[in-house]
Amino acid sequence: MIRLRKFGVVVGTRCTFDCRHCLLDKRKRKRSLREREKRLLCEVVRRYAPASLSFTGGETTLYVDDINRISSALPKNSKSNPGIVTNGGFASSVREARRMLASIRGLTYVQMSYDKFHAEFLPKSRLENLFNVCRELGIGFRVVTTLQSPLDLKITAELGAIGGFEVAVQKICDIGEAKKNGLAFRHFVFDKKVLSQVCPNRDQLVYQCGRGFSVCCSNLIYNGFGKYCLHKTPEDHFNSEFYKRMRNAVLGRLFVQHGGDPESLRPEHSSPCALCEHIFRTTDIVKTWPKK
Amino acid sequence: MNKNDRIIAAFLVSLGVFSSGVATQYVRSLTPDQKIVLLQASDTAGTAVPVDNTNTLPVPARK
Repeated sequence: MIRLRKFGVVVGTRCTFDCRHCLLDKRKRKRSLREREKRLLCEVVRRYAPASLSFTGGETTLYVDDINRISSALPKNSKSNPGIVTNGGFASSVREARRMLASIRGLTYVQMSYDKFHAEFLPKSRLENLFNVCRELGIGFRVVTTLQSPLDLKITAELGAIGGFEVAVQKICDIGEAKKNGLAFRHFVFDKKVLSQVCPNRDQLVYQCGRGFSVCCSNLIYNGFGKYCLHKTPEDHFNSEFYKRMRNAVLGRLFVQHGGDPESLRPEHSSPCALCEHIFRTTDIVKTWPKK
Repeated sequence: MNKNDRIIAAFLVSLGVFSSGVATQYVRSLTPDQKIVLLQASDTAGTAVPVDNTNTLPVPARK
């Protein structure tokens, strides 16, 4: 029996910002969910009642109607915690922040993206507005900040001065605009720790707007390997060759199993997602895929 | 490594930026000014947590 504890929906790819490090290619930032996708997502949410239901984008506040429709499909007695990821651009004032958050039904938390790239578009006052309104309304709040280098951690001091919210730290992946602009996190040397790591998202299912379901939300999806890891339904995905192989795979072992030489790995392979892409790109793993 | 170097390395490891061996190498490569930046960050980043590399899905935060 499939249990879907954590489910994320990329509800669209349009955005109000144009960040240089965006994981989405600028040319692909026009998608919204089609009617059949919305019906499908409502059905998925109704059937599986995920404990965690989160909406990302693009900028999620451009898709409030769709978010409300999908989260309204949760069963009445569901203990799900719907949340959004946002750039906070709408929070030009406390009043505007309150208005927007009140329009999203059942919202339990907000994750705001803020780093040196978002700061090119967002005055810090909007972060403060959003944090204060979340606190007032009893909505959970945290910031995710991305790193191009460890020195970008200096932003945590700035954020700490605003309030005692959690700051989640994430390295910039080599995908989308970040890849085009050469902004991915710069690994100092090859970090062998990655060889013992597993797919960091294997416990979470994500629906990619216009594309399908996958536990992958990174390099394989955005760098040309979607045909191996995206599927039309959650059931198709959980029964797929990709899921069967990746859910328990230790990346270093997988790499060697398919003919890879660990001595050939370079600093840029030091993250699980980058190593995973490297495996798909350079080893014989796709040749061993069963033909449909 | 002196005490501040160890603090910086531990900070980087705690946030999942590097493993401990790589963090040590990295700290040794830093200039004094860069060390000050990271030391200050470590001092004020009481609520900083690592996220999985590509996990853009939030978990319910404390209200």
